[in-house]
Amino acid sequence: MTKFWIISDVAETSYELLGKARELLGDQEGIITVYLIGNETTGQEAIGYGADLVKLMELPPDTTWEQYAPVLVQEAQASQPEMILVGATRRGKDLAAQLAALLDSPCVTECKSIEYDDGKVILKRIIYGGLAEKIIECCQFPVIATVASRTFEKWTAKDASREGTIEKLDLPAGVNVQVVERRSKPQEVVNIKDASIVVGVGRGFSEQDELKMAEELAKVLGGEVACSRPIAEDLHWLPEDRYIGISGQIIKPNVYIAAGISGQVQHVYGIRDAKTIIAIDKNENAPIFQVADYYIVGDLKEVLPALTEAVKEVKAANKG
Amino acid sequence: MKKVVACYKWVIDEADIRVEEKDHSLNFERAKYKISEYDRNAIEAGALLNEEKGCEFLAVTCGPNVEASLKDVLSRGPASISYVNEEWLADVDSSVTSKILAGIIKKIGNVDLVICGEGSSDDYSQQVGPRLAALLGYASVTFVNKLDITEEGIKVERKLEDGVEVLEVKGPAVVTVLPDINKPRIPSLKQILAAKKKPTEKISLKEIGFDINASQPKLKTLSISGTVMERKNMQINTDGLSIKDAALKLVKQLNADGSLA
Amino acid sequence: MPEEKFDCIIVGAGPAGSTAGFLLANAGLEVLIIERGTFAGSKNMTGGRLYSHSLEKIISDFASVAPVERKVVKETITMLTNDSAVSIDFQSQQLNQAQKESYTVLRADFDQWLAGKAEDAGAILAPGVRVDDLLFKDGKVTGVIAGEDEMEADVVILADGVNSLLAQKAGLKVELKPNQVAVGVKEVIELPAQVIEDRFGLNKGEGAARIFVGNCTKGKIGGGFLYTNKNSLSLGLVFTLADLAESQLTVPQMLEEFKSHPVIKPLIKDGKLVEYSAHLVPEAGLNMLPKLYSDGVMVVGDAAGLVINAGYTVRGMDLAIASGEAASKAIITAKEQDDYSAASLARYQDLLDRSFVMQDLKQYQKFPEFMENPRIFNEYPQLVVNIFKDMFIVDGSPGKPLRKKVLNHAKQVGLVNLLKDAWKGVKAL
Ligand SMILES: Cc1cc2nc3c(=O)[nH]c(=O)nc-3n(C[C@H](O)[C@H](O)[C@H](O)COP(=O)(O)OP(=O)(O)OC[C@H]3O[C@@H](n4cnc5c(N)ncnc54)[C@H](O)[C@@H]3O)c2cc1C
Ligand SMILES: Cc1cc2nc3c(=O)[nH]c(=O)nc-3n(C[C@H](O)[C@H](O)[C@H](O)COP(=O)(O)OP(=O)(O)OC[C@H]3O[C@@H](n4cnc5c(N)ncnc54)[C@H](O)[C@@H]3O)c2cc1C
Ligand SMILES: Nc1ncnc2c1ncn2[C@@H]1O[C@H](COP(=O)(O)O)[C@@H](O)[C@H]1O
Repeated sequence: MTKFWIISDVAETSYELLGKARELLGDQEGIITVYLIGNETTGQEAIGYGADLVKLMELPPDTTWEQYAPVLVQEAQASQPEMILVGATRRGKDLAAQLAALLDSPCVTECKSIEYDDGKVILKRIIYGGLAEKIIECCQFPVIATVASRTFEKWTAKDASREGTIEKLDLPAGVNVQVVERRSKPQEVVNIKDASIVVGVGRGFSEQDELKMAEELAKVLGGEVACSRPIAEDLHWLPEDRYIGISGQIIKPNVYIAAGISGQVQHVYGIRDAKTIIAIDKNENAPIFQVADYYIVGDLKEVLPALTEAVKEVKAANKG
Repeated sequence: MKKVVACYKWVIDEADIRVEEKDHSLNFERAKYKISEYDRNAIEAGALLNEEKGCEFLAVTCGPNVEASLKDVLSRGPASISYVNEEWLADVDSSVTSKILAGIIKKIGNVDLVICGEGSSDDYSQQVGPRLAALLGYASVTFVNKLDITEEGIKVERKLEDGVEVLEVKGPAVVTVLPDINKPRIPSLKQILAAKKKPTEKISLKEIGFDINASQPKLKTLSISGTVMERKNMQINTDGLSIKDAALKLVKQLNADGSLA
Repeated sequence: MPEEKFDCIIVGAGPAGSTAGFLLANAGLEVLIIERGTFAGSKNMTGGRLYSHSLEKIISDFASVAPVERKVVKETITMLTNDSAVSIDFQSQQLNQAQKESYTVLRADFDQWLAGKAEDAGAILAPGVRVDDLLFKDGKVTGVIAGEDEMEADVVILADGVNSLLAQKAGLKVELKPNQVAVGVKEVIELPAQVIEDRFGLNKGEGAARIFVGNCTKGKIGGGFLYTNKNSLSLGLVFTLADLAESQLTVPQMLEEFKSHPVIKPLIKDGKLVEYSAHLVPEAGLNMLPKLYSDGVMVVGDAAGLVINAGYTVRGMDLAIASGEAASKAIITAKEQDDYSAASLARYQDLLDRSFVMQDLKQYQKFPEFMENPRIFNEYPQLVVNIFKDMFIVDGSPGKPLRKKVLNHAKQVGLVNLLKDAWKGVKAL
């Protein structure tokens, strides 16, 4: 009998992974076990989405979630799952890699697709910072794969009355990692994924104060301000969920305006599906121009205010 | 004295790779190698522990042509580098890499802290760090943006999607670091000259008891294909058009495209 | 106190610096080469054609091991107007003879190779470090300052290229004036080897060098060049900085227009731009030669202005190499005598004076002035094109005798001017 495992610290992602597991299983006989953080209700929800067995975990108050690794290894050795899908959060990726090492298994990070082909598993992922896609074959089991949220769809045959078993999974004793403090991040009010116009700012801005120019342009356009990774991670001028790219947000706005962003592959990966890309950079050789529809070579300190004025003018004309 | 090891990967600079338009294959002709981006942060973290906490600091790497990386890395702080240089490592997966690195680290012996980058610039698998921890029996702490070494172990802050975890680890650990943990140095003339005198140790697979036949990669690459974007690539401020006029032209264009609605 | 001292510190790992480093290290001296680029050649995208003779003397048959692109077997000079062109081809067995041959090179590869030779010989190369200043003691140069670090040496060679601030600090030269420098811009455009060979009528591995005068610089002093590499073309323009100030067009615009000229466009069709660079070229030749040495210091290559700028083509690498060689010879003798005073280093000047470097520079001494005449770049190409147009464009209107055709056109420029310029040109050469 085919056994699938799903592990995630985010319940919602585990439902999506269930959808994929159900699809892969098809009409074969099999058991899907889900390891997730949650309570009975979450467990029941998972069963509705296609789980047969749910093992409830907790986010341990005094140690890290990844400390479940040795327990999971024991369980895997006992039940021999064929595939282990792990939600690709930071915690999930850490846990998946540890599991893979302890089980001496293959592991594929952040898969974009997973299919069976003649007994082998074919997986797809992105490499070189978004420049290329790699198709990988794997025929050694268990296959471990991590998958980001929103990659797969939940099971369409969801049935709230499905039956399954819910159990609790205990942490191993005697862990050597101690949580001193957990601070949760303030919820961002802005969701740049929903914005139809996004102004992206990069290291071409030399002072935080200059961001005002981008904010003003975004305001007249009715859009939001986002950024490149260094602006969020190194300079902390904007919250981290506002940086765009392979390791940040993937956005699909109508218009993306990159200002002072050189256009490295990792960033461009996040705007690939933007309908129109506009770039402003003072370096005429900036790679961003090669992925732009329209561009202006110039100093953003000059171009942004000019654009803001132009938008006001054109919008006024549209109304009149 | 605590012993700290940084792992760095010698990678092809992805900015030099070009995608052929006709068949989407990758052209590496102009590609140069570099220290994987975030491994510079890993090395810097080790160098700071050496300078500020008096830790012994070494670096390790494995891969094809890694010898070309040694001088550059040595000028960034480590006292020596132990490495495995094998052509065969050109297309291996994280399981192989982590086994070799674990072998090198065991051979060095008594390592208290291993520092990896958050992910490598080419593969970005984000596996080697936690895999190493599992293989060495060390604690794994990933995505660290603050790191301090203590008597018993380490104290770190790690950044996750939903917030920050401040952790204390007893005993040896492997950490992977985020780019904002520090600002990698640009080696000075003296540091470059000092690097020429530092030792390096080339290690054979045999020395670390690595059996190629028993540890083949578990993943096989079927194909790699580059992604190409079709865009208009139109410069607006040509023919001496002023910025002001260019801005207006651009906005009118967007308006005409229906993008402003 | 610096803890170590070198026999010689060389600033800049271009052709001049690396050649000197190679020869000095070969002679057993302790040499440090400091290069600000992350690797030798990383900032030296310019240049295209290397006349082999001077390096051949130092590393014989270097072309069989060095990363050269193609051997030039075909030379073409083309006069451009805005829609037409006249080309003159030169193909000669002489182009093939040892020492007379020239190769196209890409500097990122070539410079790295040459610096590698110096390292192999025992020189220490420190890339990614910029020398900010010189160390002086009693008016004598005793080393360099880079960031926080100081490093001492018996002698410092300044091989830091055209805008040598260090040579100014050493009191060897004064700041460059706009009319003493030209600007070069270059693009590397990628094309498959087969396409290049077909387009330029070359056999496998052979190369072509094309030079353009006239419309490409909008009548300004300068010209265009196109060299074939293995899988790419080096296409660029050179023009005088003073002229540029008055120009309506920016440098990239000029290059864009050049690329879309009907003669150039088909040559680069379907090519992919992979590199763009701009660089200064010293151009006043002997007229701006600095002092070449002083106590404990010498200046070589572009830093010393050892470049022949014939307007449309720039020749500097072979001179840079020869000057690096001359400097290293002088230092080897200085080391034997343990005397690094100006008097001892004067040998360098002697050696240069006796070499082709100074002789060629002398020959071109008047050339810069000659080139400053705008007619050369405006009227004459137009003149030649008009003559050929009359000869080859047959539209049914009654023909005139050839002599008349030529004279007609020449009148527009002014026969006297034509003769004057021709005479000046002959004298300049
Ligand atoms: C594994 C990995 C993952 C990564 N993931 C991401 C990611 O998800 N997202 C991301 O963004 N990056 C990511 N990066 C980083 C990425 O490689 C680049 O370093 C980063 O995108 C560069 O940011 P930037 O364009 O703002 O800065 P820079 O590259 O420094 O570019 C600044 C630009 O501003 C221009 N400029 C300067 N002054 C002005 C002015 N006055 N007016 C106009 N223009 C000006 C400059 O010409 C330059 O082009 C990742 C890197 C790695 C190795
Ligand atoms: C567009 C163009 C086309 C040309 N075409 C040709 C041609 O076809 N054939 C030909 O023979 N010549 C040509 N030349 C001229 C040729 O490029 C130069 O004459 C030659 O490069 C001079 O060599 P060099 O070693 O003196 O200086 P460079 O090659 O300029 O090397 C100087 C080095 O010093 C380094 N440096 C500078 N300052 C410092 C510092 N403070 N600290 C540390 N390092 C420093 C630089 O990074 C550089 O690597 C051309 C030039 C241009 C601009
Ligand atoms: N070949 C290698 N040699 C040394 N360290 C490596 C190697 N590959 C990966 N690493 C380390 O592991 C980290 C994560 O790599 P990856 O799992 O490939 O994303 C890198 O940032 C390095 O610190």
